[in-house]
Amino acid sequence: MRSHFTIIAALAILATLAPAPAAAQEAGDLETVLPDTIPLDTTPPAPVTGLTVRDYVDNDDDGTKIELAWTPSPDDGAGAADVLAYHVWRSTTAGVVGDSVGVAGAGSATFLDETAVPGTDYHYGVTAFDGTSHSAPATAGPVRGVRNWFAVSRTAVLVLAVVFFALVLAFTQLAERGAELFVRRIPGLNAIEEAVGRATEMGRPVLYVPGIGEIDNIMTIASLTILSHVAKITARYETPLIVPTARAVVMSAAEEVVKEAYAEAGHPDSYNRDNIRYLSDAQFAFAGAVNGIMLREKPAANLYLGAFWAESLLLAETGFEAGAIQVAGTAMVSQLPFFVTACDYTLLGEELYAASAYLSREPKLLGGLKGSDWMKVVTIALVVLGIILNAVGVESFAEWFHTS
Amino acid sequence: MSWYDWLLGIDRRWIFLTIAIAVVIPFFAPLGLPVVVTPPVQNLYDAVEALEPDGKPLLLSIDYTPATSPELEPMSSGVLRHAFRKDIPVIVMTLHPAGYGMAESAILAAAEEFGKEYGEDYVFLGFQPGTSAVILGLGVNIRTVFPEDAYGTPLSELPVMEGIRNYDDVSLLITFAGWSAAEAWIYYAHQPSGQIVGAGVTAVMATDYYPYLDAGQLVGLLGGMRGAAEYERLIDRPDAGARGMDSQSVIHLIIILLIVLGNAAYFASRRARRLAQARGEI
Amino acid sequence: MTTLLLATVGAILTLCVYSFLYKDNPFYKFAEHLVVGVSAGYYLVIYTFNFIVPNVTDPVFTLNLGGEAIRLGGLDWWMALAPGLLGLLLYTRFFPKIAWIGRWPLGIYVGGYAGLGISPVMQARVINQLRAGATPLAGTPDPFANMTNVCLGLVIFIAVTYLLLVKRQLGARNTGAKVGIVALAALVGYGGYVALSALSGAGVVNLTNVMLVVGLLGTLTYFFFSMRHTGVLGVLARIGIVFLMVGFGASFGYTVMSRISLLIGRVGFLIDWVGMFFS
Repeated sequence: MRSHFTIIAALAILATLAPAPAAAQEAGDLETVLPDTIPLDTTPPAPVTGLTVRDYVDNDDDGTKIELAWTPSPDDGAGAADVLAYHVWRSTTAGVVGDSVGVAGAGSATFLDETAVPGTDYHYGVTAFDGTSHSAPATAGPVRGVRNWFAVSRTAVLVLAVVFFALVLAFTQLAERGAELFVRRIPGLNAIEEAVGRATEMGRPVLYVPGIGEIDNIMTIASLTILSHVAKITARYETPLIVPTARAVVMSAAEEVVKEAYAEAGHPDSYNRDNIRYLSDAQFAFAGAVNGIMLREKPAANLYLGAFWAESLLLAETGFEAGAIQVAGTAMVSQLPFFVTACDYTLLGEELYAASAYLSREPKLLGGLKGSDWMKVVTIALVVLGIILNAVGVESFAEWFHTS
Repeated sequence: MSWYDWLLGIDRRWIFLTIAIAVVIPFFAPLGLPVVVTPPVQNLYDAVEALEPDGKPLLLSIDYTPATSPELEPMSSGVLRHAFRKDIPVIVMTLHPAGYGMAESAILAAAEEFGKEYGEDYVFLGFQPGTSAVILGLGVNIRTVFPEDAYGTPLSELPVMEGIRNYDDVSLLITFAGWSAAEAWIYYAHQPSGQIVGAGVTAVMATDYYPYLDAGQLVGLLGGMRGAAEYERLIDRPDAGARGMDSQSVIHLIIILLIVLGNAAYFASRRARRLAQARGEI
Repeated sequence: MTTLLLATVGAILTLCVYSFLYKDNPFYKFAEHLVVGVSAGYYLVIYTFNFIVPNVTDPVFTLNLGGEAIRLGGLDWWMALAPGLLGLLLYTRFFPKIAWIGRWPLGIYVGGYAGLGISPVMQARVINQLRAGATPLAGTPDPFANMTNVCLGLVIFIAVTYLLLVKRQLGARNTGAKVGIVALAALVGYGGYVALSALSGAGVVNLTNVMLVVGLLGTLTYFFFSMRHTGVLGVLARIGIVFLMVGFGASFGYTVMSRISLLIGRVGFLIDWVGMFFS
């Protein structure tokens, strides 16, 4: 069987190298593409009939497949019984045979061209080949491959995306209408309050670093919400609050937040503008300057909440050596290990957003938090269901999530 | 002063010095510690090994910058040598402007070593900004993203690019990146087009990429200098990766020792403080 | 000669940067500023000749897109011109009166990227991970069985030691008893390892996948904020935090390796540089 295919393939290659069938001269439309040398004097096989072409459609049709079907040559397996293969030709111009796109073995009546460019009109020709010469071509066309509008194998993406967006939007709506949405208190918030309390007891300042992210960074925004909360406590206890920043816009935003918080707490006079500082845009220069503050002004509580990169360990380590209570929080997963090792308490990833939503009760933040919360429930349910179905031998469920 | 106070208060510059000495010595007196090949590296090697000589090209995206090149350059050199040794056509590109020089020097060195000819056996497409848009664009038509190669030659004039339109015409894609480019290749090449993707990433990033390996979104993974050393062992051509592994092992031992000592000192000092508190001294 | 010269410049700059380890100094500052300046210039050249010229100015002005002629006013021409113009609009921020125009291209940019991202990222990070998480808990080959069993054996050992020594305060005043308890715990842990190996060896259960699923559910529960962490939820969340911490530990170790690799790379470079003077 295998050797049979090898012969056909070899012949096919030979044929494409120098196919110059005598019959081609008679089939006038081949003249344009084939050289007019005359090879062996043989009779070509009878041509195929009834060639049809159509755009092949399957679940994830990307428009590159065209299906051909024909009635085999009378000389295939009967008559002269000398047909070895069918050659498929493709051209963008009617009446021109064009390029070879493939070969189908004797006895076959279909061929799938998977190399079409979507949206291009093609004309196809099929010739029967006996090893030395081609039959006159049967032609059909034009036909074009059309992309599907919907990739069926990715239904899972659509379903889950719709569920997720619906959850977020629904919870946001609920929050805007003033519904009481429960969010559990994050233990990290207690840790922050304890740290500020300790600083008050010791009569030393609190250092609040809102990260080095820009103001459009969602972590920076979450951090400013928490800053407002912290500022209210320091205002009440009249503990100095130092906020070093690495971005000018973040500095002005922090100024607003702290000033407002002091006013709300009823101590607008305690607000000290000089304590909200812009240090440097350069990452390590900023880290160096903050370290300087830690060593000189000896804050008793260091709070690092926001977006941090490689400066995380430099800050947390210096603070640790200076003996301050440290609480950190970031969604930069790669920096979490350093904060966890060097700080007393760390808000991990999403906890930062949760803390911010818990404190601010801002509908958009709450909606996002509650939506992703229930998405987790959906995920857990799907995983558990998948495992159970897997155990009883139903694999198609898990495979539904296989999207590539 | 007690031993733990001394240890906890030690000037860190002594630690820097110790580390420096420990790095340098194995360069002059190699220990030849064995390198054991792990499955993720073996899988990437097997994927390259399975490619056909003179068949569909291998697409390498050399996305690292000078800052992470000690970890990633040995990987890209290893894979390039492997591909050239097997006569696999190679297309090189980069998603980071600073990766341009890195990619160029890596491919020129490997091509010279194996006598490969530009345009025939390999091509360097250069840099395009826009990461995800670039990766998605390559899935449609490579020529709309890279109208010409890095040196201004139209792709139509390069034999190695003949018949190469999108991911369908590329066998395997490997990215070497010290930033999220490796993830972007999974998102935008593997997910929409089903392109088989392999990655070489820094050790910092390695843990983040194991889930992709587990879910079959990555065919193989090289993590850090160790991954490079393992690959060098598989292609039997020890180089910069293998050279650094002795120093790496020695330093790891020193660091483990420091961690143990540091913890012992920390607990000892805490215990001493508690005892002192109990006696009412503090 | 050029190689030696370039290597020397590189080596001196490397030493300038490493001088920071002793303390901050002008040499370090010089090297730092040099990097910032040089990379700005370098990026400008790369962006211009790899992107602006072939994708914008060549097609728009010389009607040449990758060596092929395009038609003035044709689709290809507009596809090169329109994004180029939108990009130029970003510079309106230098003129406060019309700075608002800059928001248009920014809006298109942000919206476009979000649209491009949602489906692939959701597939890569949620849906395919979900499929990988719904994994068979038995009857599949487990290449990591031994590693998992060793880890679980260790967990049993630590748990038994903790329970007896810390919780029950057994042998609090007797060092010999403590050693005995640790030895007992080690024996129990080893027994657990042997038993688990027998189980996974017989294909009764795939413990690696069990760990994966437990870790996944625990971690998801830890980040569930809509209910108080009490009862079953509390137990799952505590398991989750253990997995998170193990993950952070692995990540920390890898980071150390990464940083040391960078040092090794630089030291290798310096040694090669010194070697150049002797060859």
